[in-house]
Amino acid sequence: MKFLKKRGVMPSLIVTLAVVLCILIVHFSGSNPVTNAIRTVFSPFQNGAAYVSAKVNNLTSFIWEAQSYKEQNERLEHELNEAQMNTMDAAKYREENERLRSLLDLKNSMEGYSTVAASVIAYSANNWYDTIQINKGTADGINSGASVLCGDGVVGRVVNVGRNWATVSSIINTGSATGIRVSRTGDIGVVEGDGELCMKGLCRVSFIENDSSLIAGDILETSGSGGIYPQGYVVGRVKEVKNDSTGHLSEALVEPTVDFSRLREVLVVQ
Amino acid sequence: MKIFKYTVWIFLLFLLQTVVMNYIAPFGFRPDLILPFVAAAAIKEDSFKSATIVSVVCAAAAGALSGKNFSFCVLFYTYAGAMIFNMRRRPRYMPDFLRFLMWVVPTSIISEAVSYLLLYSSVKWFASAFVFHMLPTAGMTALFGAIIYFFVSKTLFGRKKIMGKLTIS
Repeated sequence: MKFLKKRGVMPSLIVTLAVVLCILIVHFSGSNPVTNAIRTVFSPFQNGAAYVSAKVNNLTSFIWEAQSYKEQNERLEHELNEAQMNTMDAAKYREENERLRSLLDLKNSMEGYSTVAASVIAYSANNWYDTIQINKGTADGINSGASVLCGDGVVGRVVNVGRNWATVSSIINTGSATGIRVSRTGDIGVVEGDGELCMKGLCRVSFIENDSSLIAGDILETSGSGGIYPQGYVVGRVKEVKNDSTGHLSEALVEPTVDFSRLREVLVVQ
Repeated sequence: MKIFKYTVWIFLLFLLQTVVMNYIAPFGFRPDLILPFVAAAAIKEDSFKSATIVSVVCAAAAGALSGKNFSFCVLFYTYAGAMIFNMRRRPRYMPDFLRFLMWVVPTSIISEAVSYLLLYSSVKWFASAFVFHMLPTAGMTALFGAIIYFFVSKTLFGRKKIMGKLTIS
């Protein structure tokens, strides 16, 4: 009894008995009335706190991660720019590949001719393409008067040549003349350059029969006459045909098949 | 008034423990906020009855809400409170705050260790869990406990002036 009267012993015993009673209830009843009661009361408050916490967490996460979003954004932007540049490079290489293949096909088709591939390095100083400059010259066996072709058709003739350069007068240049044959009808004529038409990138058909049945869209190819250009290479397409009052051909405008503004590689034919 | 303050404290702590700590979880560890409160009350209280009542109430609520083993929670928090109260003056010549930390850290480690053993019934990864989970959790508990101790001291055991003399509220 003295022991029980010691300070703290009685309360400790009461607490212990209460706890043991609680545990026994839980063990034998299979349910926990204390837990059920506390959770029932507390649950609505936990719902509210969870809702508020989630909102605050979303906001702080956004702010906290904003810097990483920014870095990720910059990194992705950089990668996108690189990818775009690679795509552009790929497109450029593909284009170059196609041009070179076309030139190679042209070279292979010219058996018996001596050919030199060259790159266009400069254009005439004015706004139209009457002359172009290439990067091969006498050192590569190029002589003045050599014909110049590309995959799309006839470019012109070499008019000036140096050791490692040459100037090519295009077919639209004033004073140039190219013997042609109309693919469809076989009519013979000459495609001449003209100062005024050159500014539009066009040239003219001349010395063709008046009763020629030339129509817009006709393909004109080299006739081989004059010994300048090999036979059978496309010069251009008839763009417009003008007839006189009697119905005879008076003028025909030709659009070269070669796009001089995009000309990069040419084949010089000796 | 003190009962009301205790009620508010216990209510808020359990809301924080069961809801908010899931989101905060510094470095991935969720500290125990109830144990420091029980320890602070046990150290600051002068009456064994008051300290034990606080312990029992926190123990029952912890057992119900913590998701841990009910019997273990009830027993642990009750006896932790009682034990800390009886040892609240030891070691001597040390501030209450340091005594508080000195009792909270090992008690938290014991709580985590027993919870682990009850949960897994195995000591296979005990060493690893002790180093990488129990110790950091005890550290976090002590850190948050320090904050709780400060505010408990101010709100529940703060001193106010009556008739020009300081007295406990």
